[in-house]
Amino acid sequence: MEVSIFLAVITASVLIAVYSRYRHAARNARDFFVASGQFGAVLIFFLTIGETYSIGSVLGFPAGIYTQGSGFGMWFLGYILLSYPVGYFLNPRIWALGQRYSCITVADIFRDHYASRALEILVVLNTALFLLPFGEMQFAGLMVVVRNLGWHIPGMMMTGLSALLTLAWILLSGIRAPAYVSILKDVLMVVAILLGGYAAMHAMHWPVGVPDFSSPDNGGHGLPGGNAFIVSTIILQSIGLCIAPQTVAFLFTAKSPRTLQKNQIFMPLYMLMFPFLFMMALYVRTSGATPASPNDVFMVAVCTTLPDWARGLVAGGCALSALVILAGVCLALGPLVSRNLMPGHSDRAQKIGAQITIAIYLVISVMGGASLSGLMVILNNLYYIGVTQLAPGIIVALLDRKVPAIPVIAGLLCGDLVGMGLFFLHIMPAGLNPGMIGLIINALVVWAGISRTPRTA
Amino acid sequence: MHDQDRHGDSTQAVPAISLPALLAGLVLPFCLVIGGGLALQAQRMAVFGVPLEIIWMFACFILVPACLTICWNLPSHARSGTDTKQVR
Repeated sequence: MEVSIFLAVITASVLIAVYSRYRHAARNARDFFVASGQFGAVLIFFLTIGETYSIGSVLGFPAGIYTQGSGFGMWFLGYILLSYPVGYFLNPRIWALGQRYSCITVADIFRDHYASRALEILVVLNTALFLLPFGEMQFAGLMVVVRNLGWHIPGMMMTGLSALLTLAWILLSGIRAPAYVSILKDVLMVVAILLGGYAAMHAMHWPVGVPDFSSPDNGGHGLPGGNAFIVSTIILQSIGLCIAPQTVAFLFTAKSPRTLQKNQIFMPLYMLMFPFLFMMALYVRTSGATPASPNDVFMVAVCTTLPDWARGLVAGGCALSALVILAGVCLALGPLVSRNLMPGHSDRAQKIGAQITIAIYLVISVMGGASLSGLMVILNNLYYIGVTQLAPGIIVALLDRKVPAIPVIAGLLCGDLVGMGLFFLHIMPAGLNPGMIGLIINALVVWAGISRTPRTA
Repeated sequence: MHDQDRHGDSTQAVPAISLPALLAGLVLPFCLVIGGGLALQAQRMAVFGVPLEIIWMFACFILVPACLTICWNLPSHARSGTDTKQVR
């Protein structure tokens, strides 16, 4: 039953991907990567909110609550929640920049606004590098799900088939496939989390007899660095989530800036599933179950409380969750290489180059997915420190200031060096996130540079 | 299902930012989430096993959309505040 439902979900996703091609076969590179900016409110909503219920969030949130308590919850919920107000103001303006310069990638904004090839390459390196771990992370999450369900499938076969499915979606209809499939994926995730959360509450007879989760003996406030670290990380990551390369690419698929803005109002409501994930962590913590690793907390709750058919639904939802995110990252990474790193090719060559890049990326991710390499874990930890350094350059472009690229290049390099340097040296001045210190220095360098430039726009 | 839908707003103008909009849509949500969360965290209290600050964060799932709805409905947004610059 479990496997049948899982296979039915996967089959449904393939049919939806085929349908998305039937409706609109991608004609050129712009249509393939950003749907020619034709998506309406519904598709944009599901595409941009996908990250909220990625496999990383679904496994990571209960894991963090289980091990680190409420401090983790504040940070995790805080940065996702506050990215919506930030996006409310930022997204329509980034979309307008994309329209003005016919952008497909975030690096296109920098290339066209600052007319600098060096800055374009720097932005590609600054973003593509940090996208590399995403593939491995999705596959690692998928392995956790399969392991807990007790399916005897070799890891490499499972991740290899998943990668093939992702590649098939992408080749079928580009960005439309993950956009259309994300509707099914999100419905499944909501159902799975509701079922799991309700079953967990029922199993532990909540609210009767549950120990105080915030009591000092259970590590209720277990984040290092204290409140300054939590606040600076929330601010840094709420900005970073809005200007991440895949998010920016998703914005360019929208037909109108008002649609983007209106969607931001409703997105926090979508987080109403998190209390159920919290209950699953609470259940595992109080039931005496011993998950093999913190990442297993969600699946331990699922496997001990839900019947066969529901476990199949959860497995299907988790698999689609991993693959939709992976497809989005692939479609952001491909043109960064084929369009920005190797420019001057025809539209068709850009599309083929991106598809080859995506295929290579998937192969590398499959090979690394079984055991996350140390380098990938480091790159993942550095993700927000690096990606958020694009913010000052984007804000100057949004203000329509025509300034030389030199201050933006200098700011980006200073921000990266300071942020990563502090991270590797384990130094947190005043308890602040190293990425925030880097961002402040980056902004100061850019500000000092452009304040010497006469205002022309 | 189509790429576009009946609920989509096809207006191409980017809404302008006003001070009241910034206060309601950005400053207030940050104060509510971070300020409220930290203030309740200091209390170190829980209701039915759930820490107060986590309950507050859950409440903010409703409060933040409320702030953004206020921001969206501010008069400046609908009338004089709209940037009429058309994008290509």
